[in-house]
Amino acid sequence: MNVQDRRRLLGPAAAKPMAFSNTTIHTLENKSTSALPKNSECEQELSLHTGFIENCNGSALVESRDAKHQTSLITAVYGPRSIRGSFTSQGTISIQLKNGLLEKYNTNELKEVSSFLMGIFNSVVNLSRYPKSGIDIFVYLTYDKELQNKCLDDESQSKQIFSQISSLIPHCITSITLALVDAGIELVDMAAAGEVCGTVVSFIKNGEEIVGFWKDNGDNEDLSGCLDRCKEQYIRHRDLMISCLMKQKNLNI
Amino acid sequence: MATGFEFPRIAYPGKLICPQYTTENRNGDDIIFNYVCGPGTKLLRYEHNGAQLEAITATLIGTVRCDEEKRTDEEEEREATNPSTEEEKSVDKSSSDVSKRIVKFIRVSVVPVTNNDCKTSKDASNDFANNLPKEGDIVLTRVTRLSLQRANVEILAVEDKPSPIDSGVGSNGMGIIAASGGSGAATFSVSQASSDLGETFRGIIRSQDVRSTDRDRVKVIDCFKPGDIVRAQVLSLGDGTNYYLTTARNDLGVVFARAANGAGGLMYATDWQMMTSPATGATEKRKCAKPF
Repeated sequence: MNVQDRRRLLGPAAAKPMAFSNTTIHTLENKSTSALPKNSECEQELSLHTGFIENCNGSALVESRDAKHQTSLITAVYGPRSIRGSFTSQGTISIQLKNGLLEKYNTNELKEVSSFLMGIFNSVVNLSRYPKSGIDIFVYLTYDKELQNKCLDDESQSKQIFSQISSLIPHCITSITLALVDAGIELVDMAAAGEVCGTVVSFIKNGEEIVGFWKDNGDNEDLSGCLDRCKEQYIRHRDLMISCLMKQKNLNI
Repeated sequence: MATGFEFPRIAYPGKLICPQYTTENRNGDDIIFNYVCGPGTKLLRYEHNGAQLEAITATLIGTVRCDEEKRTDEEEEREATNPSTEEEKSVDKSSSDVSKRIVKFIRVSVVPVTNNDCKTSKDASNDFANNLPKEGDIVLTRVTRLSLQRANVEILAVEDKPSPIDSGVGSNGMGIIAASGGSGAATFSVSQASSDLGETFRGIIRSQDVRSTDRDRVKVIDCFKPGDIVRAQVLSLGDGTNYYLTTARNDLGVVFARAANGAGGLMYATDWQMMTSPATGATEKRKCAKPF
């Protein structure tokens, strides 16, 4: 009978994948150059890294810090690998989010976000290139904490309520896009997003097409103004991603 | 190659590379460049100032390459005999003072690896995106199971393609596997596909597809044994579980096999259906690939 979990047949813990020449060490160090922090109205600093996890096909680290909070998340991309069952002419994407040091978000919230992200990347990844296979994306929210700021007045205190998981989504999108590009998976365009008071809008094609829209209960009645501010952030994030990738892949325009 | 169009040297996903057609007048000849999507590119529709445009867009990060595609004589003949295109040509001729019209097909592709200074296996393996077996590809497989009608195999590698990095995450005990399994239910890699995990792409060689002659008298057991490494060609993507493969060609078949069901040493092909163990001199039947 074939009942035991075949995944338990692991090799030695210290076993390593085959390497054919003296590879990685100095190239790895080169890769982890940080992109320039960028200032805006909220003075958000972003730091992007790619390709630092050995085991997966593509990985990205996104760290952001502004006056109010600080976020860091790691994304790993595995695949495309074979899926069993019925025939699929297109690839399948699965995205999983995981709490890191701070168990801040509950499972339902994370599931909701990951299905939202799946909707975005189903339209961004060139899935027709990957028949019968699955692409697995894991996002690890290393930390996401509010910074104590004594000089906050009541208004900004109330704003803090809305710095919920929605403020995290643009960074998730940035890091997944970076990791997918790093993995060499075909993307139709670099997806990125902006967030204004609990509303997240994700764009492609230079802001001409919206691929995702998320709304939390923030106070944003002016939707078109919201869109414009999200688009600004999208363009900033996208340009940052491109310059970061160019630098880390040693390509010069 | 002079195409009369300035390509960007470097592309990233979403970067527009070129339109579908450009034209150029060279020495009185009208030359039409028809750009075709190669690996790493896709033809996408854009809206610009209210007009719908189609442009070849990069889907990978890397350098842009363009090669002229030679169309076969058959295709040219078909085009020449096709009355509608001829008609178009003559109409075009009368409307312009062009003596000759040449259509050139140019394949545009994005090549991921650029830095020649450090060509490590790690760098090369970044280009696994097009590494999935597709129709016509030559693959290396391992025989897992035999029956009277077919041989079941697992696909280990696609020939002439690098393999992904996450090789054997599950089999070497490192790395993270999704708690609920992810889409692949664990791990898959082309280079070190772990048969312990049973999560490689699988294939079937039907007995009719083993060789091209006398194909209804094939005895699968005289052609393959479990564990043999078989070079095969993909016939079709098959169903959800299996690719359909064939070895009906001289250069396809068993490349590596051990004697006595894996207990003996490696054997060498002596002719197309016989392998010999140099240590013992014993021979076994296989459908061998032509070694050279």
